[in-house]
Amino acid sequence: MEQELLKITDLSVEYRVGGKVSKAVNHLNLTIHKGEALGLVGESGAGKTTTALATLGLLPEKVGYVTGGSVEFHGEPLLKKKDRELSKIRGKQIAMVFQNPLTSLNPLFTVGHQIAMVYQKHEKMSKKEAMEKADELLKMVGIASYRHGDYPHQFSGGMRQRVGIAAALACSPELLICDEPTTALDVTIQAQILELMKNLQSEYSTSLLMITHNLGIIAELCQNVAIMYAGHVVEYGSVEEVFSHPMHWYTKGLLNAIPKLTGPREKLESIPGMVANSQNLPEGCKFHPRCSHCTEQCKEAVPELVRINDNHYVACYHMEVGV
Amino acid sequence: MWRKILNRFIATIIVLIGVSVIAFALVRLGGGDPAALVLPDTATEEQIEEQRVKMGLDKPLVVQYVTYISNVLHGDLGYSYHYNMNVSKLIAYRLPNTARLALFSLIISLLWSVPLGLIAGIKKGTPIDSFAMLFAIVGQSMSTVWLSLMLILIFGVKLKWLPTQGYESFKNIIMPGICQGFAFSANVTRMLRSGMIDVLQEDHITATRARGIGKFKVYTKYALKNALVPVITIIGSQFGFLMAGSILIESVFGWPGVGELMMTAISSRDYQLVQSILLISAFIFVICNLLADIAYTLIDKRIEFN
Repeated sequence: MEQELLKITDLSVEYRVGGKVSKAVNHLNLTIHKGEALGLVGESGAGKTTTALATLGLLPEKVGYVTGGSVEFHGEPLLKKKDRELSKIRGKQIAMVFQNPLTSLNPLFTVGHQIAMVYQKHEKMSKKEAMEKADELLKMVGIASYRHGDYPHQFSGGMRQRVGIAAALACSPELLICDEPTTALDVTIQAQILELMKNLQSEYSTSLLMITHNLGIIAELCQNVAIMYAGHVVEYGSVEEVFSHPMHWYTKGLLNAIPKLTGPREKLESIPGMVANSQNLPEGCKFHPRCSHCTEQCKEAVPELVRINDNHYVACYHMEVGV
Repeated sequence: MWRKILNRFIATIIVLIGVSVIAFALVRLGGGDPAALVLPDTATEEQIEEQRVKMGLDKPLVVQYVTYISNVLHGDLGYSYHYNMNVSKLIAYRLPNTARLALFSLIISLLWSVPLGLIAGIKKGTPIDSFAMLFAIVGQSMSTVWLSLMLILIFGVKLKWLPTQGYESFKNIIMPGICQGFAFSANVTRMLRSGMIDVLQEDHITATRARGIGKFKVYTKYALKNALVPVITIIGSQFGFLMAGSILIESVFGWPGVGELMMTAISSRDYQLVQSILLISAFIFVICNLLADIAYTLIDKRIEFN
């Protein structure tokens, strides 16, 4: 096995707002190896973004709390670090691309500045040097460098996301966390961004944590995939294994819910019921209220992640091969 | 950009014409005979009539207005019969005093309210935030008269730390400066606090933090700039307002500024002096707002100057 880069063990995160507690992440385990691209899949509200923010220590203050578990980067525990120490890692060793390019750039600063700030912070470069490096990055992501003095509102969504990616790649991070980087973009722009990320990942051998609910992106970019439901990994394995032999009923539901482009028009499949309410999670397997194979056992006990083979782990009492 | 500024300038001139008409009409609606007020009580009807002719008050109102405006356009703001001096000279002597007080008041308000609003927004829900909100409510609802008198009573009369009248020393400026800016600084505190709370929830703040920028820099540079944009507008109008001189504060503290001059001008029916002060004040007010608008568009490029 290759070297472990990021290891999340038994992580639990809660949001506390106005006396209400939302359990966003529950006993999550996840490992990313050096050079690996891992997809993290799940419906909105499954706790994907929360996992990413907790890793970087960027949970909203006085709202988001880590209630248990650990996150290790190169074997060093991140959660115990002070913000000052973490800020030396953020942007340099672990960088993040955000979901919405329209809101994730500061409207009052030039795009050049927002990339250059990473160099100024981590490489201690002068403003001028940092700007020159920012120009190179802009060129690399396909934006003419003379536009470094423009403001985010002068760019399209796709171009803004390129700027976000450029800023994230500035210091060639070892781990790049992409939080649904293409969800807010057009399909054609999505393809461009994905192509760009694919090239950059192979060029810099950056490890990738790709958060998405688009299974196509996972199939395109990642070697391994973790399926997340209600803040918990329910199925994990190589993309090939999981997508061709899904075993958890939630994974099967997700795969079935992809609309087909060809063939007769049938009623679209969907998973019955609503995403688990993180303020009031069910006992036992969190998926059981929506599962057609649910038994008494599922309502009482939480199934452990069971090893099927080296490339496949599933947490379900009634797993079954095939769609 | 320059074209737009020119357009604004033309609009400014139209505003000033309006102001001059209103100022001209208002002082005349106020009643009282300025000619009689200039002369001693023993003056006869003939003497008063003679004085009226001398002051040009016998002519029709339209003629009086046109004469006044054409003089203003030639740089002559009129003659004050109360002070026996050129109005331009009077204002030129008083305006620096008002400007000094206005500048001091603005700076001290901002030095106090910007950090307070900033910290309150960051530390939402903590005691310092509650204090800031209390200050904002009290500051905006408190009467300036009451505040002035209380400060005079405490720091002037009881503690004898600060002089209550005059303008010679630096100590003189402290109390009127604080009183003038009190409500304004409360307003800035409140606006900045809510601005910070809003901006700190934005994705781009998290994104900036994710690039490794420290909390302090994110707050004071990347978040503050966003929260300051609306504050700049009210800084412009507040400064314009202060430059017109506060009749109240200047009278209470015996500060020889434009406001106090205005007070005297009105009570002595000094028509040309009142008109010219109003005109100059309106001009400064409009210019300050124009500058604020320009600053505003320079900081936030998304806003079109118009």
